[in-house]
Amino acid sequence: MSQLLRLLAVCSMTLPAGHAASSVSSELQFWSAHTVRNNDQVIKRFSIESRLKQKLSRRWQVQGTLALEHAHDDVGLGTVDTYDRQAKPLVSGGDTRLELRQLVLRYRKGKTSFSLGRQTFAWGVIDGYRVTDRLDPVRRRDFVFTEQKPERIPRWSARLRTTLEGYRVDLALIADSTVSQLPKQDSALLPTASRFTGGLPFSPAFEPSIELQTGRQSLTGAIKVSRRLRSGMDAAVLAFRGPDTEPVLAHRSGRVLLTFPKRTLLGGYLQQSLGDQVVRAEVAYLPDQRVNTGGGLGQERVRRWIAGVGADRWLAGKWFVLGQMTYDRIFSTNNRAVRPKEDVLATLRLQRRFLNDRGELKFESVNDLRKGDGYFASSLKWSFRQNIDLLAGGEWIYGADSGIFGQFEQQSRVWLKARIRI
Amino acid sequence: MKRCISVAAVLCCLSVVNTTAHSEESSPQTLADLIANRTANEARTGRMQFLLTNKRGQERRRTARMFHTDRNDATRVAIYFTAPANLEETAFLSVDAKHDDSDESWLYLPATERVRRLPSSDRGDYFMGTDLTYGDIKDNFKFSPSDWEFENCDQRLMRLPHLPCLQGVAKSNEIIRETGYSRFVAAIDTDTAFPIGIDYFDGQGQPLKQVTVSEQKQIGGAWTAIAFELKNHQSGHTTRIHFEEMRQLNDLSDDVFAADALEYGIPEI
Repeated sequence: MSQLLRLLAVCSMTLPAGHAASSVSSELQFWSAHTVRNNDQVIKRFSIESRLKQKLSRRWQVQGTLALEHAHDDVGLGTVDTYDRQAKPLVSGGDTRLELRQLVLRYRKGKTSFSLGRQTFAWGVIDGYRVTDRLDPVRRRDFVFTEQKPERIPRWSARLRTTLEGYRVDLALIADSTVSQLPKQDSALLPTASRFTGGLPFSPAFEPSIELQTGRQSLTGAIKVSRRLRSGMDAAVLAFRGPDTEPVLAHRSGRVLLTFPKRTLLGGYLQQSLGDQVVRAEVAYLPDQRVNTGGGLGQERVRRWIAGVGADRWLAGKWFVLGQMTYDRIFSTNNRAVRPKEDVLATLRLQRRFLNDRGELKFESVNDLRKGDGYFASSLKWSFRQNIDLLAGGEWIYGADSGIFGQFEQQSRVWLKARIRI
Repeated sequence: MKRCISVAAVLCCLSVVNTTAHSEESSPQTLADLIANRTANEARTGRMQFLLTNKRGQERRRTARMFHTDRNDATRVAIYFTAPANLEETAFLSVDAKHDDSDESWLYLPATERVRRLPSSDRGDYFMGTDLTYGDIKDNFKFSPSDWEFENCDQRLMRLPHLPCLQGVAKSNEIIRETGYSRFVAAIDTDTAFPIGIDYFDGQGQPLKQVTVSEQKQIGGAWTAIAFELKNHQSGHTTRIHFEEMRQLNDLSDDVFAADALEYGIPEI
């Protein structure tokens, strides 16, 4: 079945672009990055991504994305062991990978839409840090040092969206056990901080196996209900239950495993325009979050709260600024959790477009206020031609080895990208 | 000889009568009212072709489908980009409330896969790299009496002297800050009540932008600008906009302008 779906997907990508109700576009990208410390070329990646949108009738359409990537560098393309058997890349060998990124059949009538296929669920309103936005697995091969955060991985699922008495209802059933993609064992961006190794000291020989959920255990069910309040505020409540997309380590039969036990998330958000700014608040409660505890990869089920507030506005000189604070806390009974009880992250982003949007300058600072580590990123994008973008930028990473960001301090880097669209 | 004098006298009188009539017809308030009362479609849609040219002559093209409603409570504009590839599926929605300041802006970027609520832009901010400001979109070739003091034209500034001319001076510094314009001079096509040549001046009184309407068409009984050009004197950048398949929409549901709908792509109407 999966082979058939993949074949259909590949065939659909080759449909003629001349069809009146279809659109096909491709984007070629070359990305090169060098570390600041010793000028190693840590990223040398080439990718082609083709997107197809085909209208089948007035109400039906199909949409797909196929990506071919090649990397010959110290970071690599990440592991494929975290993918469900039905979702593995079409070709995955060495430095090259061909992957079906998205394939969705969509029906739409009035306020109702139904979609079936490999798709994502971008829920929540806080940027970057995922408060309620935890349905999708994400790519971690570049950790968080990417243009778009997070880089979502679509999963095989069904989704129904409709409006009932002014309430917008979004229902999802995900039948795909794919979890967040990890860097390969020899990657320069492999996490080494003990919070990511279950409390064990990092060693290059440390190579846990991945144990995905199977059968009914792999299903995730989700619901979001949102509404525009009379004051103009957007409000939503949501809930989902399914396998965690982030791992917890286990020790079984002499092997170290990355496991993904089921967890529940209950949450909601508010969003409101206040004059020339937009303010957002989001909260999530996970009553059954598994975490590792110190000493022999122990586990504990804890209550976890994640909250975030943020605001964005235009400043003088047409600068756009986003400020955000997130708070992530676990309530452990024995206080032996490997991860800290609290993570407090602050984000400040400034960006400005200039020369009729030909250029864009962006600065971002993310700090873990408890540990004092973080990173500062900047980039400049220039639309050289209608279909060619040149980008230059860098990330300066700082902090202690045990920090979320500080563990990659040696990986501070500068980079160049070229993007051509056809 | 007498006959010649009589003819000259009649012509002279006619000329005086004609001048008086033209002057009455062209008084600033009359012209402003003519434009303000111009029939507008309550709802319309069309395909927009943008041609953006910088001062070095480099061109960029964009195509989008636009939906526009002008109702008692608000002006709503939804724009779905269909080309080029980097903008495809990008969708923008603005709701400008008429009776309070609950304006809203929303943007769907396919890369983020999220519809994002944006802080409302100033009316003087430029829309998506064009020379069109958000205020220009909202005003729809009309001049709000709450923004402008209407005056007789400064003859030296008239670009199309054969047409009646209307000049507006911003009522306050706040209006100048919001719109980016301190003054405008507009040549009016009185047959269609359309300003077909507008020169805008910045806060320092310097020439800022020139708008030229090259084609008008009646859509559902209302005159609409089908092709126009905006030239920014200070940046040297020009935007040409051409509408295709423009049509009036009857009973267009406000659901088309729901923020969530941006993610679905161009609505089926």
